[in-house]
Amino acid sequence: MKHKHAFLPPETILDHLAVGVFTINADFRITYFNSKAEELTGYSRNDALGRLCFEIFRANKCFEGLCPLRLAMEQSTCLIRERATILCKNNQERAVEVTAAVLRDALGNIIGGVETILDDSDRVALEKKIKGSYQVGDIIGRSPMMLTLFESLPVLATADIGVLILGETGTGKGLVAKALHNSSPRKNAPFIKVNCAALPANLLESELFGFRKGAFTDAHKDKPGMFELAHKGTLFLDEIGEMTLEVQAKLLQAIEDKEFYPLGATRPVKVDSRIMASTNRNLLERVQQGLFRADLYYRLQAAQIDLPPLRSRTEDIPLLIEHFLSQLQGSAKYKNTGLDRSAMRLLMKHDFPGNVRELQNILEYASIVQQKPRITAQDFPCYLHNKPSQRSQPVPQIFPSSILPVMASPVLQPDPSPPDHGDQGKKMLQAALARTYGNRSQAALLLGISRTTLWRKMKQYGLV
Amino acid sequence: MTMIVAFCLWGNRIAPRYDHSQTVWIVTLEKGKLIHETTLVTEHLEPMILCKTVAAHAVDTLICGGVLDPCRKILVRSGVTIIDNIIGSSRAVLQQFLTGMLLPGTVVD
Repeated sequence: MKHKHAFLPPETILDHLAVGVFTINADFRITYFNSKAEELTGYSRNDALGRLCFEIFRANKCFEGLCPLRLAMEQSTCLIRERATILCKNNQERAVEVTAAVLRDALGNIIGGVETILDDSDRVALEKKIKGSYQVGDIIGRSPMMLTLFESLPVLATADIGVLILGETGTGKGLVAKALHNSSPRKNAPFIKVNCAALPANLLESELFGFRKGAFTDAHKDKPGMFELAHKGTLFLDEIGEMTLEVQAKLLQAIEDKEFYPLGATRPVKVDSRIMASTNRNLLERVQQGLFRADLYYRLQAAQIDLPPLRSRTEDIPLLIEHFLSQLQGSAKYKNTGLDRSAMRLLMKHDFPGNVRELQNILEYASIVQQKPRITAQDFPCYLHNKPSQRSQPVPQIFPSSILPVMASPVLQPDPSPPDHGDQGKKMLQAALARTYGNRSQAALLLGISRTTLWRKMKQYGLV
Repeated sequence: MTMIVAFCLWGNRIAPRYDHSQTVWIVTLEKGKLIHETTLVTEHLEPMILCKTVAAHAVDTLICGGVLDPCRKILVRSGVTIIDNIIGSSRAVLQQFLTGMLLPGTVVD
């Protein structure tokens, strides 16, 4: 028995391995291909022998100048456990882990290479699953507040009720609305977003409800409103706190009656849309001030989601940084390889009045100006260095609970104060405008808020 | 009857992956003869844009290496017939195609 083993040819032994093995010559043509390699690629040995290796494996790395075999042969080295994705003969991608080494003749000359391939599908699937549990749609977090939110989202998505999303600017209210829509039975119908702060009242009304030909001088043809376009889908009313009382009245009627009259119409239009709304205002306070209709408020907040500000979930910052940097790395423009300690320390100390959007903008800015492979604190915008940290001071909890589904209940949540920084906010705004020489787009980028929000804040502080 | 055939290329060979084509060689054939040809540089093009580009050139048949499902669906919906998993040089593959014997998975060398 011992003798028989000794005479087994090496090819036969390699065929018994649970690892794919193949060799190539100096021209990258396949000279050996074991059974497991056949199984992993879907190509038979006969198909593969003599072929160029990249025509058989079709790995992403083959076309990105990162071929492990080429690198091993060029550098006379061994590349161990490199991750790659090959395209099998059945046109399905397969995650693999490869190890590449050079082959030499008796004189030490390189005559080709050898590569082993291990199926990595299970590990990649598991990694995706773990990562997925920290992500719903485009919302990311692993803090207890976010995990509670993630648990509640599927329930809210399937319940066909109105949802009111509250949170400071940049917390991701729009992403939550989109994620809810995408997981709901209405996902195949349109998701229509209307920014109520971006339009004057009369224009908002015609945007929402549309008009009929001849309704006014320039109405040359019928125009359907956003409400009508969202039929069977979701209508997301962003910054609803800015809506005037007149439009609120018409909106309430449309929600209650499931029909409305476009401007100039003699017949009502029937609609079946799910309404979601968001605001960074304290809506209840506006109700008490008579600026927002109480009946509409209760109608909208059948379920309420309170998004926590980033400063109250600092444990999510590293995860978000990783996410945004991997997004930036995907773009050919940016080639960062992460953050150094000084940069991470500075971000962890910052209180992020512009929340996740501000973090994203800071990283994008740093990726543009960075000199070294790793982003350092010096690459961040100046205001991060100049502003004293507020982390040591108790930060008022603006939205205390992460999520409060209130099913058609008139019981109110504790009074959330508006996410406004008063004088400090005004000073920040003025400083940002001064630094950008009045350029509003750049000032908004610097503050991590949208241009619309900047404009609204400027109006609020009397800066326009 | 004219026919427009597109070949996804990597160098002068059929690109092993549709989504990593450096160029697309588009030929117009009439009665088995090449009457017009053009080459599009498609390196760095997003795969979906590549699909739209192919469809915009009224391509009847696309010859390529491996092609992922989402792209395949878009191309088929645009009325493009796909002959995939082809290995070989562009000219040899064209010759084989003209014989009417080019089937998916054919190795032409």
